[in-house]
Amino acid sequence: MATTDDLRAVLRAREAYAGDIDALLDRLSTGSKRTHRRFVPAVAAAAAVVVATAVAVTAVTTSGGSDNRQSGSPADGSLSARRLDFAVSESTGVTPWQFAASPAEQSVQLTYKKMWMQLLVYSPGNPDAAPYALHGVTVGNQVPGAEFVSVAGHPGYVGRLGDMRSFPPASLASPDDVPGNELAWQYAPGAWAIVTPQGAHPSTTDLLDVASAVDFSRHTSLRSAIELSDRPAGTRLIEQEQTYARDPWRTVVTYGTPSDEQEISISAQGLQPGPTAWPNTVPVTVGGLEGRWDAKQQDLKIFDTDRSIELDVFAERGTMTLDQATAVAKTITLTADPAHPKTWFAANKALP
Amino acid sequence: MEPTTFEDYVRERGPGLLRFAGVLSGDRGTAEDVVQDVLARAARRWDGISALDAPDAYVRRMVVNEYLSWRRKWSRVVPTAVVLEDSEGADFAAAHAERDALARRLDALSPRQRAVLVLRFYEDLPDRQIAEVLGCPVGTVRSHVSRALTALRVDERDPAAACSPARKGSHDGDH
Repeated sequence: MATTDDLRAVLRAREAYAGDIDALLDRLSTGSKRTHRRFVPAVAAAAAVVVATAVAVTAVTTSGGSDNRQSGSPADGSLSARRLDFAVSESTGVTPWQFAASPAEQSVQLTYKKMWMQLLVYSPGNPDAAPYALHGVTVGNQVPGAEFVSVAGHPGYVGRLGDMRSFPPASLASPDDVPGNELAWQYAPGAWAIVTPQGAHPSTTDLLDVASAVDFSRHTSLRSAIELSDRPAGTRLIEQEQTYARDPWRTVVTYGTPSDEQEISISAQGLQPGPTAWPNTVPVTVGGLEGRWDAKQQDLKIFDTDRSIELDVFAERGTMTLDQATAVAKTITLTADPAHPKTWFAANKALP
Repeated sequence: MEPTTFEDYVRERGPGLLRFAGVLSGDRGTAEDVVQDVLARAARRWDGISALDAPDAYVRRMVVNEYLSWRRKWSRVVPTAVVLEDSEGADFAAAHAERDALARRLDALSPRQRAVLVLRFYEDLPDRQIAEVLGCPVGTVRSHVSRALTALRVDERDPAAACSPARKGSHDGDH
């Protein structure tokens, strides 16, 4: 049974159908009508993604109450690769749709007021931003144009992190092509989070709205489109990324050795239109499915063309033979209907 | 303070009207057409409209009526025979599936039912104002809301909604 909050979220997602005010003003001034009276498919697809990815983050387990909702377990140590150590309240209009978890940082791709933004939450001490003295007013002297703000009582600022990155010794990792201001705030002593626009120009209020939706007193369980019967030998789970959008849905899990000498990425996603020829690869068959092995890239791709699914086993670091990649591929069980994340496996159980 | 000139009004309120029409129609093209037609008519009568106590409410009412009229003219309601399963649990994926299904059920509602829901749950208008916008009795509004929520399989007794001061206040005067 849906709730009225679900209904409100679905209605808000339909704002994606708003249309172009500038074009409308032009037509009003000239008295012309729209050239295309029917729905533009590309717009429909984009809006459908927004609707289809309206994910409730309220279904999480409380990890401990606190008067200060921005404090919580993440400040006590490393983050987890098995879940998000925070939750995002969708009742504020924030719609998360992609989740990535690792001990060093966790991220959420989200939509707010039709703007695509990324929330990055760093583990305590990563990065060490102490030199930026955000507890004091000197931040304005260090980052030209920075605006000092408060997120649930925690110090932060809105500005261009690109300016901040030039200060030694640490840097707050962020895309170089950020079009507008970002919001960085210290959600707990030594622990930082950033809201970064992705091709959008949110206002300071918009950035603060997103930051205020983050609740560090709760965690978020994740689901995976694949289940693994075993992990690659000698490795442990170091990162997962789950994209619940129907198109394209995607699961990526990465296992690494403690020494970081080897990292193997295992992914499943909707089969994307791509080249029909695979240069420098050899055809293989794994579990009755056709695939391609690229020895140079150490990349094994397996195609389930009937269901339009691509599986991939890729050595991001270290060495991997075809036999090793095949052995890893055979540990994978794909959920019956990956386009519906409701059928996905609980990540904390499915990923050893 | 309402904008004084029509140009100021369109620049200030136009994006909001487009969002409103987009939520109503679920179709970008329809939203643009509806708002354009409404604004074209409003421009011709702007002196009278701008003299009203709440010009924006009047124009929004024009948008709703134009949308309902437009739907009748173009008759683009497509019947659906899809039976959607209920959610089994309250977790990420279940909620995702629930909302996906809810969005499709919303499109299957009649335009008037959808308009009532948009005015109630998107615009947060009390039933009395919804009745004024639609030109119908308050009882009819409540009837539309009840039937629409049943069709959507939405539980209006949601505790979070009931406890929210803003939402509670929005409808107190009518219940």
